[in-house]
Amino acid sequence: MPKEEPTYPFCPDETKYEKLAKIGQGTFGEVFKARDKKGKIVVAMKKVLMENEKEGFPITALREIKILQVLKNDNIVNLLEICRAKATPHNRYRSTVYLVFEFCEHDLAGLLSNPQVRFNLAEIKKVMQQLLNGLYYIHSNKILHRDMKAANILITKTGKLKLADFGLARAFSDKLNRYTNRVVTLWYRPPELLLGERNYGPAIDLWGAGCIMAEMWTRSPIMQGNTEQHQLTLISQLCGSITADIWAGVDKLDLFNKMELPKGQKRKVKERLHGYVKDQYALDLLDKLLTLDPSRRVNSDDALNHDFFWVEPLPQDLNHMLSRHNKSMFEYLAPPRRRGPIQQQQGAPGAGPSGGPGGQGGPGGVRPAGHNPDQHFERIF
Amino acid sequence: MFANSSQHKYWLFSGETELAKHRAEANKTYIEHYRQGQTDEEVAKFFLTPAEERILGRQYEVVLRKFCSEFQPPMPKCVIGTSLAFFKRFYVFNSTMDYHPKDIMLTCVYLACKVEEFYVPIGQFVKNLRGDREKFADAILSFELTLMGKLNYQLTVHNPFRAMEGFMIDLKTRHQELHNPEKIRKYVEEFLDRSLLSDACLIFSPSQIALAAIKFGAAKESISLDGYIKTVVLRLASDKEAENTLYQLRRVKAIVKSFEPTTREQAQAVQKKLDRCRNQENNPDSDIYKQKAIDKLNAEDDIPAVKRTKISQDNGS
Ligand SMILES: Nc1ncnc2c1ncn2[C@@H]1O[C@H](COP(=O)(O)OP(=O)(O)OP(=O)(O)O)[C@@H](O)[C@H]1O
Ligand SMILES: [Mg+2]
Repeated sequence: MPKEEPTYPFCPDETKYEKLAKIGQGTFGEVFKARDKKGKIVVAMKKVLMENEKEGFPITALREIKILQVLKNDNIVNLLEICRAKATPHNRYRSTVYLVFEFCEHDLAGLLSNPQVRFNLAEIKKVMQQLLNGLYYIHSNKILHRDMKAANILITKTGKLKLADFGLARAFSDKLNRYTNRVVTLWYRPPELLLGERNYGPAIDLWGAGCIMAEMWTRSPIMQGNTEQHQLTLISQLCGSITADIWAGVDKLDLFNKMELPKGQKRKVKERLHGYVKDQYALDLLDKLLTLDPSRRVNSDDALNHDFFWVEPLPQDLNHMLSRHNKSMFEYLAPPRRRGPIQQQQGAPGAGPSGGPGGQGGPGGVRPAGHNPDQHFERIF
Repeated sequence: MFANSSQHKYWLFSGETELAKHRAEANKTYIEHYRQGQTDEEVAKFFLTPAEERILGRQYEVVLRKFCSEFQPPMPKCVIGTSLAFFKRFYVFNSTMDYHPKDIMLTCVYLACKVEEFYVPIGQFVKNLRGDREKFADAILSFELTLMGKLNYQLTVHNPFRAMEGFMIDLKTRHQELHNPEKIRKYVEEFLDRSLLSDACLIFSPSQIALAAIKFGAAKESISLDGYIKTVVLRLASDKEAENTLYQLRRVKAIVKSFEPTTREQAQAVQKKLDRCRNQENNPDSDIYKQKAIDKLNAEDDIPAVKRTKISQDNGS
């Protein structure tokens, strides 16, 4: 039990690393690719933004650190250490903290935005299997991710998938809770959050998994709402009208009567995705993931047991496909995906670019829909 | 969960001897750095001895607990436990002369509130203090990163409260002889409260502390739980393991019981000495510290320039 060198093997300062390139810019921080000067290992350094913090070290970063220290799994990004840049005149006497991660070559948004990168069915299965495996692991550890989206899914050059960005994650309990519902990037936000549910659970991450799964074929986020209202409209158009008949108790949610919910919409998940997805098993799993009622949405364990993963073609490693690409692909570095002007969906009130008002700062602030304002996606629905 | 925690790996020590050794080292390191050719005699007069540092540490642990128990809004037990654990961990490897316990104490509580999801904004937090609240807030925020760094960013603390509740439920279901386990609760909680002021959380696992609390709490009601511990809790343990556990429980008790409060006079004398030998660079009231703060403000005026150079650096990489 006694430690030999108790104090500072773990508390290194930032000069240990040399920055190579900026690879990410989020609402809450910048991410750099960097190299360990001694060991020459390549890492990703995520800077904790401290400016504008009246409350000291941000609670979201604190959760991210705490959570990542416990989560150790093949499908979760590996936090190597925390390091600190000393206060010097260079950084205006502010010391900065970095989270240092094992480096992954790509993120899924970067890969999907590159038309040269093609996933076959077996490879898509491998991606989804690893993603659900990561979710299964975090949910069994009583952690909610709360920011599922393609840019937060990392893929190493050998094709190992890692869930990343625990900046909005938190521990959950099975008791009655009141969490903030202002989480998850708008396009991946499940209907219960949009309707003001505050006692939510792991099902919110599975909705996101469903959106990401569809994106494996569509290559762009499937429901790109401009506002929370618009997002609900898009969801209703795809998944059918939101009513107490198909979702017991939905009428008790805070915003059920405040939002305009399209009536008489039929559920068309399979029909509408069929244009992109031919595989029946895939469509069936998508249908189960994109279930409106969170209590009936498939959980990660059952999703992993779905036939999709167990019939031919079986999941296939990505390393072969990825070996054809020797350049890193990240959302931040991807060229804007422009395919003509963004078409305004009918029935979209307003065209605010972000996920609604009051989303900045505080524990669990809402992020804008897309990180890169220049990033344009082809509209799917 | 606990078995592969950082608490288990980095923050459990073999016993008081090992703790004393680390604390003495921290004391010595500080003195060596600042003695500047003073003779041993002068050193003894000017600097705190390890024993004096302990008096101060214990004194502030009492103050910390009192601060927590009077805190508004009332805080859950785990925040108190985590605050004290942070405080104790900090001073295993740091001298009270380097960082004054009054600053570190408040910072520990503030950080523990965040870590335990009992979030209190700094403005509301310092309302629990009398005096210059803005100054308190500045001090807390300025020591937060230092504290986190010295804790090696290992911020998860496993407290004995949950384990204790687990044992209480278990007693109800699996130990029928004890008709009403709730009657020992008062003593069990008293034991845990006392354990917070001892070094127990630096030496024993939370479940060992909780089990000791149950055993010795029950003993106060003249109830022996040895049978329950042997046949239920330790049913899968070998004889040797069982014997060791019982031995550890006795050790927990000894360490919890050995806590002796320091007297006001003792503490005051040490504090006086501390005012002179403390590290002024870490004293928010000192001129050196204030000068640093002014430099920082001045530097902030140059933000645009700094930003520009930064941007060009970024483009270069
Ligand atoms: N370990 C890593 N290896 C490679 N790239 C990474 C790694 N971690 C993050 N990135 C890249 O940086 C981007 C942003 O990182 P991340 O999602 O963790 O933070 P963020 O979104 O900026 O911050 P926050 O979520 O706190 O606002 C990711 O989308 C990814 O492209
Ligand atoms: Mg992100």
